[in-house]
Amino acid sequence: MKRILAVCITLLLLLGAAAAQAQSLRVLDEAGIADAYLEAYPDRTVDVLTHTTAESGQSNEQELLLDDPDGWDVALIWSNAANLTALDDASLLLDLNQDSDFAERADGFYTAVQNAVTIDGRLVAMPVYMTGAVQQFSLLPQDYIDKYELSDLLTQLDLGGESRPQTFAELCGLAQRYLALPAEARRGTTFNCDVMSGNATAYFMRYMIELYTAQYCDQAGNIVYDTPAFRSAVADVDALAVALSKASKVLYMKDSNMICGLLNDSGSALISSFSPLLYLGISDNTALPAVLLLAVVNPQSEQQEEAFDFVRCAIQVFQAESDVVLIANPDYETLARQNYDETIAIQIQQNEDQSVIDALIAERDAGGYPRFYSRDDIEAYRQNAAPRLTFPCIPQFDAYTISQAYAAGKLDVDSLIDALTEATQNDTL
Amino acid sequence: MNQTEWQKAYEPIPQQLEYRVSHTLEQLDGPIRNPRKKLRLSVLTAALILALCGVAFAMIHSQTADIFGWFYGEDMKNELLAGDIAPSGQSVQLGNVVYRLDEVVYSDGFIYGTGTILPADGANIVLIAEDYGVNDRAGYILHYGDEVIPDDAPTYAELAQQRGAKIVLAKCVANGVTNPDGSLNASDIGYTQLPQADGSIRFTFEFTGGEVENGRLNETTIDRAQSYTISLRIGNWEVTPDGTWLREELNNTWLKQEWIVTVTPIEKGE
Repeated sequence: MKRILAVCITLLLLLGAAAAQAQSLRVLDEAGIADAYLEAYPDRTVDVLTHTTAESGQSNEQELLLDDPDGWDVALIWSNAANLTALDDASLLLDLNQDSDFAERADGFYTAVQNAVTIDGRLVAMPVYMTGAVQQFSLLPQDYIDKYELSDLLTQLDLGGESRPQTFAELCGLAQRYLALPAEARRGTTFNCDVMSGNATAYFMRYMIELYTAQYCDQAGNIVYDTPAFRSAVADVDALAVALSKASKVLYMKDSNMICGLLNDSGSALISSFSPLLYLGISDNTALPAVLLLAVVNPQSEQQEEAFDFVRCAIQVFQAESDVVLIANPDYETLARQNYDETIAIQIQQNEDQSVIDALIAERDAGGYPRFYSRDDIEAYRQNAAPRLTFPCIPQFDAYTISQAYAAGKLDVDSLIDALTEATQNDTL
Repeated sequence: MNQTEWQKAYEPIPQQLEYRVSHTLEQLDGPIRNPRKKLRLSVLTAALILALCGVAFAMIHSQTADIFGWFYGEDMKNELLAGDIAPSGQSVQLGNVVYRLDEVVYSDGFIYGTGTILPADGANIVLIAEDYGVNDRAGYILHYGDEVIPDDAPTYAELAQQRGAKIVLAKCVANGVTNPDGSLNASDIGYTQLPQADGSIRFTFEFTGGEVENGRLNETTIDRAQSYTISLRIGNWEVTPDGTWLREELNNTWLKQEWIVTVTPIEKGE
């Protein structure tokens, strides 16, 4: 009898182990890391959960995790789409400090990043990627200024060196000073190439609204638009648009069709190797809103080791790009070489000419890494950006359509404020 | 290609040419020929000359080869000249805009094409290409070329004001080659829209094979064939003088449709 019982127990244990081994890792994968995970662990399987995103940009990641607490093992979520406090209150965030590698990595983060992922001393999320929450601008880089002999122009505008606008109001003032110069003095330049499409009011209004929203919302995403700072920024946009409309026709460089934009769109970058970013703010607000891609592990998961492996894959995929902005003292050589190795691997995969591949290898081995951020770029980020990082849950809404309506004269400042207030209070999911 | 196919590929022989060849042959010294045989011979000779000239012309000139050679260099131009060239000329009208497919070239698994977008007859519109703003100088290729732009060249907005015309953004993009079952075969689709001095827009496209399976794009190939059914996506909409695209409700001018065109190239050798 005992022997039969032992056999039955053994069989049950074996079946249980087999079932556990066969169970897929259930992931909410915002970044396509599943492919890298399966490549690293070909004998494992993954069930990818999908989220929905409204037209406004609002995602239902948080609801997915809260509504099905037993239905996922590991999730990649955006910091402005899921509130860590809410997830922690629901006991859905495993303390990742229990993994010594994760704990050591977290110790190296910038303070703002550490604070964003720590609750009561617990490491509740692992940042794997970071980007800006709003559009960044940069001025024309020095090598372009030199090449196209634009130093005189910048001198007339009181620009150059460390002198550059730091607030949205100062940017608008710069535009008006630029546009007040004679046309010939502006030959070969335009204030901003995107504005040449025609609708300066809509373009800068959209940017200002998104910047104001990201800077002035609280951690939970609540925002008030009827403030002196916002009304003043609207007036700045109006003055800027009037100035731009009077000088919309550019003069190209002599004997060519070259034109240089004084102000350039740098996307959502937080660091640049092209030209120093301006990191503008509205009024005296110096916050630099950013967004983190966070890996979180469900404490109820029966596959914690597999979940940790998934997180390690996510870190590896983004490391060369992200550690320069996440880690206070990154290992520059390691990151630069990793960046080059990844670039070389892609060129090989795409059957690039061997001469191109050889040139990249030579650059990498020479150690200068001209295609990677310089140490000065990283230091400029450390000084000017990292201390100002914030990670609010920014309300997602269609600022573009509202900006277009204002530009078309369908809204005045009061109805603009009303429209924005309604849009940010409206859950469109 | 046999004689019958050559003749079908080109316009009928002008009557004057037939008479000229016949008269010339009559003036030659030599044995008296049977007139009927002479006429048949002259017709065949003329047809052969025209066919060869046509093929030779297609071999030494191609709008598509010229443009892609401008993009990518002489090697690319020569590669396309050696490819299977299909002159087209088929056109379709969408609103006040005409889209004309000028030529398609097949080469080594890739499809290349060029065409022209122009205002419909009598339409008072100023065409503007994608990636160009109303304050850009009209008709100049700003993003690729080395054109020198006079200071007094009008912008699209100014040109429209001068003519009392509407500004219309028009574009044509390839979807791919259509398989017999209606699915698309395409990947790595590239395209450009190039403003022309005469107010038209030159469009180009290039793509290789690819098929979507289970949500993933798998690269395949486009096999050499006697004809290709190409799916193009055409569209146009109004743009206000301040650059606003009229594509939103209550003032939506956006017209769009799929355009299917079949082309038959002249194959060169194996």
